[in-house]
Amino acid sequence: MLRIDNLHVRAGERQILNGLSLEVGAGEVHAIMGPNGSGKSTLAQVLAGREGYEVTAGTVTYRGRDLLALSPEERAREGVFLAFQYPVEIPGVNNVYLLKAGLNAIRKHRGEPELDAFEFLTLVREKMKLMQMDESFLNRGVNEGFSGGEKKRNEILQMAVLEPTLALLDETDSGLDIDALRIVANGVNSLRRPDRSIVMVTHYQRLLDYIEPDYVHVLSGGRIVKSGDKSLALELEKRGYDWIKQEAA
Amino acid sequence: MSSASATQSRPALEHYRTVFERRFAADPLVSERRAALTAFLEQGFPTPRDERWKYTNLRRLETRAFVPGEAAPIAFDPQHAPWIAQAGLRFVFVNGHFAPALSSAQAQLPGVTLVRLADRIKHEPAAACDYLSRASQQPLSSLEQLNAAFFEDGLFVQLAPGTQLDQPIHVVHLWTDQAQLGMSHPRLIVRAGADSRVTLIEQFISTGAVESFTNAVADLALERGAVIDHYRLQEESTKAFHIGHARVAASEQARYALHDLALGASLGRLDLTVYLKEPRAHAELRGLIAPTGSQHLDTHTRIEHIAPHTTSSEEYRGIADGRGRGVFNGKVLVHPGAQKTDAYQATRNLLLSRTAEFDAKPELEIYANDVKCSHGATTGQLDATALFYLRSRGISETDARVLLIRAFAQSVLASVGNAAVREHLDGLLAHRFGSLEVSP
Amino acid sequence: MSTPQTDPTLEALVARKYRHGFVTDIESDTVPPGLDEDVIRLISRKKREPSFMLEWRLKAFRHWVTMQEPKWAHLRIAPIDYQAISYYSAPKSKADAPKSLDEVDPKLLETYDKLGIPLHERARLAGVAVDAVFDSVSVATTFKERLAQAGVIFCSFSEAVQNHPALVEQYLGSVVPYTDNFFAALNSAVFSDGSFVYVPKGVRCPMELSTYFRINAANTGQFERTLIIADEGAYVSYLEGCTAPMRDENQLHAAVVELIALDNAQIKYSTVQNWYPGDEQGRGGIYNFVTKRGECRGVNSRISWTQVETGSAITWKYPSCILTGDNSVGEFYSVAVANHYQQADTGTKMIHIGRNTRSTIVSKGISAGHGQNSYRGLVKILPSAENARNFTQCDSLLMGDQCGAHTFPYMEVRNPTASVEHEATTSKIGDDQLFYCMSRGVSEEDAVNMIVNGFCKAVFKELPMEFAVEAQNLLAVSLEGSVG
Repeated sequence: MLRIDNLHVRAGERQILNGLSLEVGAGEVHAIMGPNGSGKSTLAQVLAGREGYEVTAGTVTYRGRDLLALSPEERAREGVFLAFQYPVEIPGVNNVYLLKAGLNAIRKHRGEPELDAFEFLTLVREKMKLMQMDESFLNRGVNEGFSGGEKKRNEILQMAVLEPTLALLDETDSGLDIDALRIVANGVNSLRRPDRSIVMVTHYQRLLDYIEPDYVHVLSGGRIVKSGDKSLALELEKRGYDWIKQEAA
Repeated sequence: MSSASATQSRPALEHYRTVFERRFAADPLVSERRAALTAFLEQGFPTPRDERWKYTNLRRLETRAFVPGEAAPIAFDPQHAPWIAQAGLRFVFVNGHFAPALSSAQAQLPGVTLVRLADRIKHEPAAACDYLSRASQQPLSSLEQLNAAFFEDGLFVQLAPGTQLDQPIHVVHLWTDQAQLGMSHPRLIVRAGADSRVTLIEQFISTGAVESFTNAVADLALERGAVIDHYRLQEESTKAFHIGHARVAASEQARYALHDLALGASLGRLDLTVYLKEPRAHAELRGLIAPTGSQHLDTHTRIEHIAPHTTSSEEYRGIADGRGRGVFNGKVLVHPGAQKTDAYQATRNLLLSRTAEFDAKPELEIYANDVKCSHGATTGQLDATALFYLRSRGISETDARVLLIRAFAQSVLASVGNAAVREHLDGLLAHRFGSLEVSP
Repeated sequence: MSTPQTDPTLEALVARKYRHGFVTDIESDTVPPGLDEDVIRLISRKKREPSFMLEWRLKAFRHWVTMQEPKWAHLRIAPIDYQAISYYSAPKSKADAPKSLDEVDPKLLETYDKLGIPLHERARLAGVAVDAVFDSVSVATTFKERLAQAGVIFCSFSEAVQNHPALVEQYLGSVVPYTDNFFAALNSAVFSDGSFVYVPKGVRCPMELSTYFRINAANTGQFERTLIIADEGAYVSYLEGCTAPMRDENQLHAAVVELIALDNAQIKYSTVQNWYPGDEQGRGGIYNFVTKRGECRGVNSRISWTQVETGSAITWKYPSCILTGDNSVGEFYSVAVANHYQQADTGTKMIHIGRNTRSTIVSKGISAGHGQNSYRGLVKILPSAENARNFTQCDSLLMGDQCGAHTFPYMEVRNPTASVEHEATTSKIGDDQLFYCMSRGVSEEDAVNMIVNGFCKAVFKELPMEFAVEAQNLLAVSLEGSVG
């Protein structure tokens, strides 16, 4: 599904990723953990095609294609989805309008027929129920005036509608209270499928109580320094990150 | 103050004197008109040396020898009228003259007096003089004097107290392709009685690409508790010259709302002044200024908080493309004693090309201390983060740009309540800023 | 607090007199009032100037006579009779120019003591080199040696003309040409002295440089000229303070300041202006018509203007930055107070020419009594200024219901990659804020000071420490009893 090989990324003068390698198979859920500033969010942003980062070495192969050669929208159409850590507010652009435009662009790319307004609304309403969002949400601007929790739920709703092949969740748990976290996690779990991979970037183990990963990786100094299963996350929770940094050094 | 005319080309002004004598020597209002003409000739056309005309030079307008437009028959497919269909009670002026055949049938509406100015000048000149007086006692600008000297037609609307007019009054000013170098100085006078309510739609359009000169005056007065919803849609051809003046006087608890669209004309300028004369009078201005090609579009607004407890809210947006130049100057003036004034003003502008320019000047002039006044202004390009967000959702860069530009333009017109107008505006914006490749 | 009226106890404080209002009794060498080419020749001869200076002055004068006095919409101004002003007034002393503090007239030194700038102690303690301009001639400059070791030239303009004519000829008028405006032209024709600073390549000036200006003689205009050049990689921080004695008539102050920052250079220019503002009825006071402009001529250069303007009857000043060099930065931080019948019309111009140029404007206007305070600013982005950025914050505080606060920002943007943002607010001191402070035991006056200082904090923090304290004190004195 996704193969990252020796990825080096720089932002301005600062080297952020330093030879990161990672392989994600179909249907797998990977959690990437690490201290602040270790490069977790950079990884997610680079995979989604955010400008302002310079890939100085390494390759990223996604379903046999060079992911880094694609524009952000091409990546989205190929099934890559990033749930943002800080979803931007776009006053004046309607939420549903955005979602429908996105979905139909993706469907067209896949050679599927575009949905008409009725079909689309039926689909969105069904997904909204999953995320426990109310009707008024349909008429609001993109993230405009949304609370932190609403923004995160909105991200997962978009994921549910767009049905990606590879979902990157960037600190999706941050800023959520326990109820909102449960809703978001249920949403993600219901989207787990044998042909869909999920990469979660998170600082805390908490999220992993709700979304159980197949693999846990620790990112430090711009590369993965330790990999393991779910128990690694529990150990991190207990011991912090320092021991791993020492071990790596 | 040195006389502006001294530095201006006399021939330009002499032309207007000549045309005036030819046209109005035998007019019933000739003496009133002549006084206005004299005032105009003394002041001349404004020049960029005048602070209010710093960004807009009228020399191109001055050098053209405009003559009063003549009525002309027009043919069109009723299915595709050039104006907004079914917007309300329609009054069409072709090249400055009322065209009954194109207008709605006249019906008696209770509480409403509707008078066509040309009729009144002809039949009751003494009464017509009233239409030269103004709701506000402010000195007139030279171009308003020019209007007073040359006005030939227009509409007077009076609403008796308590009259709620459901149907909007739709005034269409249309230039035909025969109107090369035609000029028109129409007037719209509205007297809204206490607690009356009316929607006005002023639409300025052209069916041909001719060099025309519109110099339109609107004079609105709102008595206690009156409500006016005013649409001003300037969609003239990109060869036209369009000058507009609007003065609005609002009494206690009156509410005035403007939806202003500057989309047409080669050179467009609107001067709008709102006088909030009594407590709890409120003004709400929303506008879009969107020059492209080589258009020059300038809007000056001025809100005077004269009485305490008056409120205003203003938001203008600009989108300049091509070699277009947009100008927004918004002044909020709080008079001494106008305590508890609450005024907010915002202007946000987008530049879409390397050769476009936008000049913004939001001004506050405040002579009272217990007030809440603020303004914000930004000029820049589309938000890169928003663009990326849309693209990350699968939308092409072109579509993402269209989406954001349309959203930027539309949000300022979101308050448009009239469905026919809204549909018309959507169409105009789609035409100007493009539609999506993918049907949403 | 619901009715806007002045608290009577505070009224008494308002009446407090201008602290710096005294006249020094010194024999002056003053040229009779009036201005023509002969007066200019006389000034130039008295100063033994090289011919390029005289030529330049005469060109400026000939241009000035063709110009009209500017008419600003928001200034009430009595007509100025330019022929009634004396254009040169030098304190007579033993030598033509004192070479050390010992040679300075003791009465002058006393004057500085009253102003709170004892040259001996304060200068030394604070590590400040002071170039004091008394009326029109620079009387004493300290710390020359330490500066000389670093290669920094800091001297009166007259000395610079004698000792560094090449630098003067190269840079004088290169940022503010004599044709620039009415008062700049007048200044160019008649300026008598001022300060000159040259910081050579790669030198960080080892101390803050400071000048104190004072108008003393009656009916004299002060036309000083300051020229500061920071060569490649240089840094200098320059402070100026201004006071004038009380007089009934208005006195004119029309200075010109030019700053030039070459590649990677930085100039920080701070002003605390406390010219006599006139009395409670608006009689007297200084007309402060100053042209200040800096050019970031080199790449990565930076010019910062910080000003605290509490004095003068009328202030008309727009310290500006021309951002020519790529990546250059212009900053303007201002606090302007208009109390009684003062009129402050101030602001800045940021002209973005180079790529990635950035500018920040923070303006805090305080109006009290019958004061009128205007911010007038221009942000101009030329087509060449790729990725230019500007942010402007412009806040007004109104104290009393007879004053005015006005904001006239101009934003001219001709490059689509630029971003220009302007925000302005107007407010009064909130009753709830005052109440909160007072319910914690703070007096009303102190509460007002706290709130006003909080309002100005963003500007004060840009001032060098010793000036920040002085500025806060000045502000308190200027506004005593003005709470509405």
